Amino acid sequence: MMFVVERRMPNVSRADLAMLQEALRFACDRLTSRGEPVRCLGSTFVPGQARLLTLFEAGSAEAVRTVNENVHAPFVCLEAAIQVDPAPEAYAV
Amino acid sequence: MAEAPARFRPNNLPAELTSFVGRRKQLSEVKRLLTTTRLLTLTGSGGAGKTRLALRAASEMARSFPDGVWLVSLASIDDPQLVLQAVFSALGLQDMSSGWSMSTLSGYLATKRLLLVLDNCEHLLDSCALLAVSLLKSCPELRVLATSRQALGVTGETRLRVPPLSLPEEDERLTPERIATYEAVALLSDRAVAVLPSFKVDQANSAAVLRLCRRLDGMPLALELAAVRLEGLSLEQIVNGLEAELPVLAKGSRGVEARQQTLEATMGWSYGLLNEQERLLWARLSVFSGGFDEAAAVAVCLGSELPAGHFAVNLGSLVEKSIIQRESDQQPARYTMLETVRQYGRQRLRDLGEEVEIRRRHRDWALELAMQMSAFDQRQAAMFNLVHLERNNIWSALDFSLRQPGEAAKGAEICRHLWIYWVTRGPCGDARRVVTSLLETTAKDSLPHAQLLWVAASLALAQNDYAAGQTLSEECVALAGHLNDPELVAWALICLAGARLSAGELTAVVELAESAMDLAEVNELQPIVLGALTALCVVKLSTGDLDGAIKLGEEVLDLSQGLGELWFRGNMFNYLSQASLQRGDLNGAEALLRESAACHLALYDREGLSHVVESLAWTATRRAAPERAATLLGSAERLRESVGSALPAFFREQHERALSAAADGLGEAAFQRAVERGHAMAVEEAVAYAVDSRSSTKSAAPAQTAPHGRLTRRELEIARLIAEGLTSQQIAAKLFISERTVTTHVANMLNKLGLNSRIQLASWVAGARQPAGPRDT
Repeated sequence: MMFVVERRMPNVSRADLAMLQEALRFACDRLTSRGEPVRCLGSTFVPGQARLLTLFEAGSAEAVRTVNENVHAPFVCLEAAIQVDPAPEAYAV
Repeated sequence: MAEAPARFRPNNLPAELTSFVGRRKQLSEVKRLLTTTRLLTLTGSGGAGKTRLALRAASEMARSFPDGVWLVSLASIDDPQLVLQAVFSALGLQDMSSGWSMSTLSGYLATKRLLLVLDNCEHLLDSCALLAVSLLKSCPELRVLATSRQALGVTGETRLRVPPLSLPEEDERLTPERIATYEAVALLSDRAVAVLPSFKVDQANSAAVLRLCRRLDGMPLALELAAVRLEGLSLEQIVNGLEAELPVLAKGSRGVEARQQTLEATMGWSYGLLNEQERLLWARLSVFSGGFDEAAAVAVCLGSELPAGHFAVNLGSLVEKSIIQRESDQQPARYTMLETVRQYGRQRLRDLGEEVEIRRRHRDWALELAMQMSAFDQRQAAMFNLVHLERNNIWSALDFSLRQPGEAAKGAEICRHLWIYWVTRGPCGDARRVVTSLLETTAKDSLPHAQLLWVAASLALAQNDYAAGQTLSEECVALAGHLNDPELVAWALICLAGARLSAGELTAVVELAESAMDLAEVNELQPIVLGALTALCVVKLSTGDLDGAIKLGEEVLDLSQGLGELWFRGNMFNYLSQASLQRGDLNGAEALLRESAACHLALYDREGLSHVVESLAWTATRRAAPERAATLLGSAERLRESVGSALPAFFREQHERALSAAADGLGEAAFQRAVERGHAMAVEEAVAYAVDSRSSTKSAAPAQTAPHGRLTRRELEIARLIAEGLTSQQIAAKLFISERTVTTHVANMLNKLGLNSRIQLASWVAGARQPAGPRDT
């Protein structure tokens, strides 16, 4: 299952974002090594709104919550997400 | 840099209440390892003495860490998200950052040579591991000493198991004197003497002493719990009682799990020896996080089974039996419970089926405490300190409100009362996270939801997140209006005014502040009047209407003084000083800044203090005192760093001007030295230097002074009190300003009036020779 976690991060630098990403991966690896697989698929930062959206793949929302509670960066919401793949044939000529 | 003696190193290590027994070998090993590894974890079962060993090693190593050794006690923290705040708090920092707190902390520690002791990590292992890894990676001179039942499990970690205290082999034949040299026996004897001064290991009792120490596996906490019982029980009775709790004990080397069982059995035995009321009190006190005083214990634990008449006796009995500890340096007396003992009590509370009810009472006690923050009166400074002291209890109460179905409304109420503390001392990020979570659990059309919207808006503004602040304020205005709550509407309007001010929309600010003022006046809400007048004053300042700003500012000061609050007053003194500066009145500006500093210092508002110190640097520049200016600029920078805040944008131009003037005046090398000196100052030192009127008036250029014979309203007030015969100390207490500020005002008055003494000043007041006219500052 996939999940999106949203953070508000005003006044954040590129270095901070890289550090946070590293922390998320570290926290995912620790939980995974204990038998609760969680993977951080990457983050997108929207500077205008100071929003950081991070995508996870995990067996449960609880595992994603645990990871995010351990990285010392408050989050505003955690929601189940659906990946939408493009359907190339729809635009095929 | 030469190293100062260890006693001068900054630290927050607690004083040892009992003697440190044994552990010579482990102590030297910890100290040796700390010179070669950057992350050392002391592992071992609960009650093995990890904390005591870590604290002793940290204290003896203090000399090696110029930036100090700092204990972060994690025992009373249940939420992994609060670990970072525990570090901020231990280091004496306030997290007001609008960015990522971890980045703020790494930035602060980046150049520090410092030892961080993370104590009791086992229940927050992942959070602590991440903290340690992140900090060690970005702070090359930092070392971490952790204590935990389990290792953190990160690369680069060195682990040292803390064994039980030493005991002789089972078949060794030893004299009593020799037996007494083993660590477990030495500890038992040391603690026994405290309750039974005649206690001594001799031929008659040595076998029983050894049997008891072996039965307790040489576990320090178990030995301490047993030793205090020697006042009423014999060694044999204690051993027999323990054997009944833990009948199966294997011989020889025993593992961590078995030692944990021994400890639990010892606590079970201690619990069984208490009377029913003492047992209940132990269980109920376990809901406190980070300690409590007697009044709090009464509020939470009292009941028909625990009547008031015996409460103090029961509390004292738990101290005597080492279940709780009384801290020596606190007034009123404060009590703490070791984490292992607290966890045991919590389990008993669950067994009794009382956990939810007692946690609810604990939350209600926290709410009562929080409610006093809304008073905006002379208790404000004391309340700020009390909320700081009880912060772990408050977080625990909020956690209960968040997790227990149906309890969010009271959590919202706690937040409503604490907003002023959070926007002053932080942690804004964590408070906002809790408020946001509570928002999700309250009905969208309810009063608690409206309250939370307002608090969230206030916190967003404190973090300079103006867009969110505006949206949340607007939502709150609409909902609180719908719910017909004029106080909440008015506060939200003030927030909205703050958000619009940041966008420079001054007309909107005036409209919003006046609307808030109308509501406040009709409903007699004086703190809101203060907020509205402050917003209007800032608009006047921004438009250059200095007379208008001063008039409004004086209204704020009068009202604030009547109430006894300091928060609005501290900010207003600062705003008025800007008006004085714009008029070129350096003496007036500095006097106002000193008043502002006294208010901010009383509330320990570091961000406010940083503004004051920065402004005093500007006045020093204008007095052609570059060394003082550079020192103050360094101090202001340090204060900003310690709260994670940046220089406000509207300060930048004057800041740059002061920097270059100071650098030009001193030359680059001397300028850097002065900045570094200021940067190295602790908060109190920086403020004392900043408000020192003798150093501020040392200048090469004459200052523009106020016309002679014209006193400010505050000066007149002080002059009248002097005429009534009050001392500076009494005046300071009455007006809630520092004694130094009173002295400064008196000196200024004597100077302005051409007088030489306080007696002459009193005669002058009696003769009513003060000419009429507006204030000159």
